[in-house]
Parts: sequence; C-alpha cells; structure tokens
Amino acid sequence: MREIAALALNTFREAIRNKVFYIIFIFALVLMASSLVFTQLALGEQDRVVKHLGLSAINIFGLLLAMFVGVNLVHEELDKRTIYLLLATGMSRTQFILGKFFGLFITVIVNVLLMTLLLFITIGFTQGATITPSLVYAIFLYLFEVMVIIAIAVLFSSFSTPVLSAVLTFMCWIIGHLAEDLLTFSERLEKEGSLALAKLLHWIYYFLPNLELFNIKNQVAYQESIMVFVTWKAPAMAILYTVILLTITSLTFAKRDVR
Amino acid sequence: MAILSIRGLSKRYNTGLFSSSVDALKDLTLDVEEGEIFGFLGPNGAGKTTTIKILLRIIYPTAGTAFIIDRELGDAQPHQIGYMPENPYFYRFLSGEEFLIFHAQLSGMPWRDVNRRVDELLEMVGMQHARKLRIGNYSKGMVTRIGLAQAMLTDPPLILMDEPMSGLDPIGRIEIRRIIMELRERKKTIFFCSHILADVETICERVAILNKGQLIKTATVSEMLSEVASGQRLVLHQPPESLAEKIRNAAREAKDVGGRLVAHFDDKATGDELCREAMIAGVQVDEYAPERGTLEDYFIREIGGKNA
Repeated sequence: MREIAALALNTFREAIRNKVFYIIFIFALVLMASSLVFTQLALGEQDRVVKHLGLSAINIFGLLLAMFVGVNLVHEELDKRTIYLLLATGMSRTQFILGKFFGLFITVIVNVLLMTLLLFITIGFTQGATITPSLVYAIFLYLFEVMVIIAIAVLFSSFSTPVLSAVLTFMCWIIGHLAEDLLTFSERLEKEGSLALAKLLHWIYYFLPNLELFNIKNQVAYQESIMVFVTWKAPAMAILYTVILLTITSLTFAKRDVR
Repeated sequence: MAILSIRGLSKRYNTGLFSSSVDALKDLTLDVEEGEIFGFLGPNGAGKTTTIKILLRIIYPTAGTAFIIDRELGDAQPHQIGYMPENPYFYRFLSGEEFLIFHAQLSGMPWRDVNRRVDELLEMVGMQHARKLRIGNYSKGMVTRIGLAQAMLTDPPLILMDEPMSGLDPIGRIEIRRIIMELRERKKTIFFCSHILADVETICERVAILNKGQLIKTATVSEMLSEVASGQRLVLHQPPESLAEKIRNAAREAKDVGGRLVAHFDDKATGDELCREAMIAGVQVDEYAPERGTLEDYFIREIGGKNA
C-alpha cells in the first residue's frame, strides 16, 4: 500500500513539475470570455448558460488532461526505463499500475476542483446565477467518468504507443457517449433484418461503458431537482468498470518482459 | 559461501512477426562468493544486462533459475539487492534528495530512518552540496553518484552494477572506484558488469567472460593475467652494435627508442642469457622484467576472433 501511495504521489509531483496545471489558466480564459459573451446574448438565461458552459469546459479540459497524460503514463516509464528501478525495489507490476493510475486520478481531481472553484467564482459574478447542489453533483459524477477514461488510457498505454493509445481512448470516449444511439440503431437494424450487424452493435453497447450516465449537464442547466437524477448506478458502474480494466492491465503487464 | 548462484539461466527473445528467435543468454551457470567484487565481462550484446534484468525480475528467464542469499529467484528479498542501472534512468524532475527519499519509501524503510539514511548516503557519495538540485541538471558523474547512493539505500549485501563507469571522465572514474573500494571494505558483494577492461582489471578479484550469451570462462584476474603474461622485456642503454645485432636476431621484437634498445623475448632463458652478457660487457641495463599481460590481451585472445 505504501509503495502505491509513494508512486501515486510521485506521479502527481511529476504532473505538477511538468506544468500540466497550466491547462487551468486556459480553462479560466475560455470560461470567462465565453461567459461574458454568451450571457450578454442570452438575457434572463444567464444561470443556464454559465452552468452549461462551465460544465462543458470542465468536461473537455478534464478529458484532455486524463487522456494525454494517461496515454503516456506507462509508456514513458518504459521508454525512459525509469521502471527498472521501481521493479528492482520489489514493487509488483500490479502495484506499479495502481500507483500510476491513482497518481493521475489525484492530478485530475485536483485539476477539476480548481476548475470548479473558478466556475463558482464566475457564477458569483454572474447576475441571476446560483450554485446549486445539482451542479456539485454533476461535477462529482464527472469525476467517475474521468476515472473510467484514465483506466482505459492506462490499459492502452501499457501495450501500445501514446499516439495509438490516444486515438483508441478517444474512440472509446466517443462511442461511450453514443452508447444509447448505438442501442437504438441496433434495434432498428434488427427490425430491418440485418441480424449480424445488429448483434455486433449490441455487443459493443454492452462491452463499452455508457458514458452518458455521467452527463447531467442539461438537467443541471434546467434546474431539475437533484432528487430526479441522483443514482448509485453510474458511480457503481464506473468503479466496477475501472476495477475490471485495471485487473486486465495488471494481468497482461505482469507477464510481460520490460525491455 | 556463494551469495549469488546462477543455474542454467537462459533467455530467448522472439523477434519479428514470424517468430524468429534470438538467444540472449544460453545456459549460464556461475557462483559469486560473499564479499568479492565479481567482474561480469563481455562485449556489447553479450547478455550482461539480460542477466541482471532476470535477477531483478524485470524480465523472466526462458529456462534456469538463480539463488540470491539462498532464496530462489522470485522469492528473493528485494532489499537485499542493490541495483545501479546502466545510463542511470532516473526521474529528472526530482532533486537528488527527493529521489533517494522516494526509493527509501518504495523499499519499505521505516519513516524514522529515512532522513538519517539519506543524509549518510549523500555524505558518502559527496553529494550533500547538490541534494536540492534537480537530477535533470546533474552532470553525468553526479547522476552516477546519486545512482550509487540509491543502490546502497537499504545497505544490501549484494549490489548489481551495470556499466557504472561508462561515460565518466577520469576524475569521475577514480571517485566511483573509491566508493566501490569502500564498499568492499564493508564486506559488500559487488557484481560488476562492464565492457571497460581496465576498470575490471583494477577493481575485480574474479571475472566471468560472456560472449553471445554464453559463458566463456570464469577465473581470478591474476589467473587470467598469468596466462597472457608471457616473455621478458629487456631495455639496454646504448649497447654495442655486435650485442644489439645478436639481441635483434634472438628477440621476438626489438626497437631502438631514443638511444635505447627495447627487446621482447618469448623465451625467458634467452632473455636471461643476453641480459647477463650485456652486464658482463658493462652495458647499462635499464630494465629487465617479465612482461605483464593485460585483461585486454586475455579478452582479445578468448573472444576476439569469435566476434569477427
């Protein structure tokens, strides 16, 4: 446990020193500029606009961070051979994967919290906008989505190049957000008689995570009651999915020669 | 007592799409005794680093096993093995001190001992002044020294060093040699992997030579040197021409160097006889001694032709 914590902390420190948190400044600029413009255009709808913009920006910047740091996470340790010394201390491959995963997850959490703080400040300065429990819940839920994305990125990073890992992770993210459409499409195909393709799409739907479960931006923006969408289903699915992905990564990585 | 016993260790890499394979290590068997500095010698690609990686479980052997302090590979206690990698692959964003603390944490050292041990080691390798500086800003010599400190963190009885002197300037090499000698005085066993023969000759007591994944020979350095130390060297100051001519005819090689005749004899009796003759003739004998072979001579003799 101590080994995992030490490596996670080291990964977090690496992210800080590699200045990945500079992404927050870009976030702040995007958020402030777009809020200024769009709230002027949508008089009376400032609350809805600023929350939608803020959550979307947090989603995009969080995803960028998780994906681009994630796909390099294991690959860089192998490429720079820093992993040799880690394994020489007796650290197991599973501890290594978990340490790297938690290190990046902590980095993204801190990053998202800082972006949330900036969003709250922006809301404070926006006339008619208020911080609601549903907004906080949306961000909480988003962290589970990022957790799954990091686990996917780490899995790809453990056996392929950063570029390929980034492409594959991004594809999983897109398909994950189109999961419901995939199911609808497969049902339509089934009715039309394309059974094989329908079955394939059906399998993809069950195989990949439904990332739309974590997206409650619209409900937050339209001020629906938090009771309507609070659910244990999405966090439970994210945790289960992450555990499965990290187990697969550890098992494949455990058998591998580190060269 | 053997601290490290390698038994029939082999490693085969499958390369390419059609599963052609390369034997990086073939049936390696050797013992390293406690407290000795054991040289592991071979040209690039001989299998030295492969052996070290197997011992550290960075890669897995195709066949064979090893025992480190009586425990089989995989069951060995990692804190009993120190490792100094080739071209130290360290986190450049960490300072020397942070790097050592990080590795102390990974090795499970109790918190209360970490700072004291890190201080001791920084002092030992002469890096106190640069403890707060990031490794990315270190010179090659400084990186090597911090790597040595890291290898000694848990005070392991066995230290594996993979090309610790490569790329160092003469001062850096002397400094690392000093630290290694200090470790020997503290009864540490050092598995010194190198292709720089002069370093091995100076530091190691026993040597194994590896080529193309196969063990060629294991012997003490003095045994190897005695095998290549053949013949006598005679240096005379301005000998008369008649004697010089006689020496040129009898010697394997003879040269005039600044008024002196330098001759090499394969046969000691001939050398003795001509030296005596020179002394009787009143010629000044500047030097007459057995020729000292080097590990390089031995190495070239053993594997030079095989790699052509």
